[in-house]
Amino acid sequence: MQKVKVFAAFKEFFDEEFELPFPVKSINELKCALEKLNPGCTKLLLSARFAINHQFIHEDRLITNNEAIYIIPPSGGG
Amino acid sequence: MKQSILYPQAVAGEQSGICPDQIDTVKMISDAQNMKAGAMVIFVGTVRTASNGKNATGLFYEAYTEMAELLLKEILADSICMHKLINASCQHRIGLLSLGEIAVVVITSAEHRKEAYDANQYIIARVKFELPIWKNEFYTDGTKEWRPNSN
Amino acid sequence: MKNIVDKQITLRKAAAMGLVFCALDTVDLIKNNLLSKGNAFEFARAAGFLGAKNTQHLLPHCHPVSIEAMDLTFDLLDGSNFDGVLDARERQRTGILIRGNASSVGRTGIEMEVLTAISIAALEIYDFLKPHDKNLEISSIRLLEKTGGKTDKRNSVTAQPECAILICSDRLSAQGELGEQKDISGKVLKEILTGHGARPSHYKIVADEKELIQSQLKDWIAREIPFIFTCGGTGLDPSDHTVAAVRELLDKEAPGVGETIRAFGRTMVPTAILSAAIAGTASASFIVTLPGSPAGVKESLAAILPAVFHAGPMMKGTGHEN
Repeated sequence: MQKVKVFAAFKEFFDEEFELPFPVKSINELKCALEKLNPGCTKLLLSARFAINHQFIHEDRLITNNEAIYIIPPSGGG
Repeated sequence: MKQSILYPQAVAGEQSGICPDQIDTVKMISDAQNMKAGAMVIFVGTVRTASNGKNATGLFYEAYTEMAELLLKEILADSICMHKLINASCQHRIGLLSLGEIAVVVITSAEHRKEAYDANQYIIARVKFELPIWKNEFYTDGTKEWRPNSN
Repeated sequence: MKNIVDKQITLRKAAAMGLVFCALDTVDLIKNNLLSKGNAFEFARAAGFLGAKNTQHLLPHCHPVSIEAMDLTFDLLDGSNFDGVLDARERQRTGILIRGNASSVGRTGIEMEVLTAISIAALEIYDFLKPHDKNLEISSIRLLEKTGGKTDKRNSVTAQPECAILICSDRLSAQGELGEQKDISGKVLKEILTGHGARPSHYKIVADEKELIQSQLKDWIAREIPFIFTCGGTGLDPSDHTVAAVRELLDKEAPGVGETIRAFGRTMVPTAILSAAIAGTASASFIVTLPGSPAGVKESLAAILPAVFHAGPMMKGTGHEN
């Protein structure tokens, strides 16, 4: 099962950590799944980045079944 | 890990990273002191009243700490190499901060001030843009808002 | 003749008009098909087409162009209409309004061909009317609209896009402060960008090494500089690192840019096909890798500007109104 962890503004749409109800193979599939789970997050997803193992991943990267995907909203630090 | 060509002993920010309590700026400065440096530039970023027209009472910084610290070390190493620094360090707060409190400190040391200034600006620009840190601002009307940096 | 070798091949259109003033009685003759020489408009149209095709032979500076479409229409002026086309003085007179338009896919506009068509058609009508009217006047031959190439309003960029220039060169980087003086490609790049109304506000020379290139690019990306042009290191030589360095930072590649650089460059220099030049988006910036030579910079920019500046609005999601 793939775990998803969200931060900051995304916590208004999802629990901080949860399991995806069905597996996704790509970032695109992940985005569709998240939009289905909560359609309000669409705008925020447009500027989100994604990370696996503490590294940003490219939109084309394939995701395997056991990976934990972190959803990173646009930075607000500094 | 990138090494500075001029000063191989300069390793990016051993004291750098995410800080859950008040940043000890004095200790950061004294740790950065080096007799080879002719210039040390210190940047202190503080919490100000909100820029969106509302009145803020404070904020909360959240971070993806493991990734933020990895990226921060990378940014500092890039800068040491690019600007030929003697050392560079940066600490960023997380948690609750009130107005005026210190949110981030960047210290850069170099032989001459041009490199120290350029490096300091480089580091804070990339920290603000790249690090997975987010601020939740609190306002006088009781509302809260996650405020991103870019347009 | 002006050198148009560097100009882009695009769709060019032009529309023009002309007037032949004659008496109201003469207009009636045309209406009722009572001219001694026959149907004026059919002959005038044919003459206009022949005139257009002969423009290069009549006007010394006109390049031979490929006329891919042409239309000539004729309207009778009897005092009532054509508000948007004629001025007040013209509307008070009687005669014939000739309008023409043409299209061409090429390196230069088709304005002169349309004006020649109008002119010759007007002369043919004059020839048809002169047995019947001693007070003829050819007037108001003018261009109504021109599109394509640099003058196309749709192509022009309204705001002044900010640009950063990164020269990736071991040779220049080794020369320290003298490097900037010796950097000809950088000067050419700045000049061409300024000529397009852009603002080259940042400039740096680095050695052609992946980490140094990426460090600087990440700085400009963090500052959200909309357009970044790198220069050099786009070849197949093992010491050319720029393309790999840039590719790792791109979110989305825009393969058409590299393809256009190579296709256009090939018409000048066959070895242009060996360039690995790429372009694409990195957060809010659009990065383009250009060849290192001044000629390569000039030709590549001739091929891709100002189109590349439209990446700006597109990345913000507002660039699709056409």
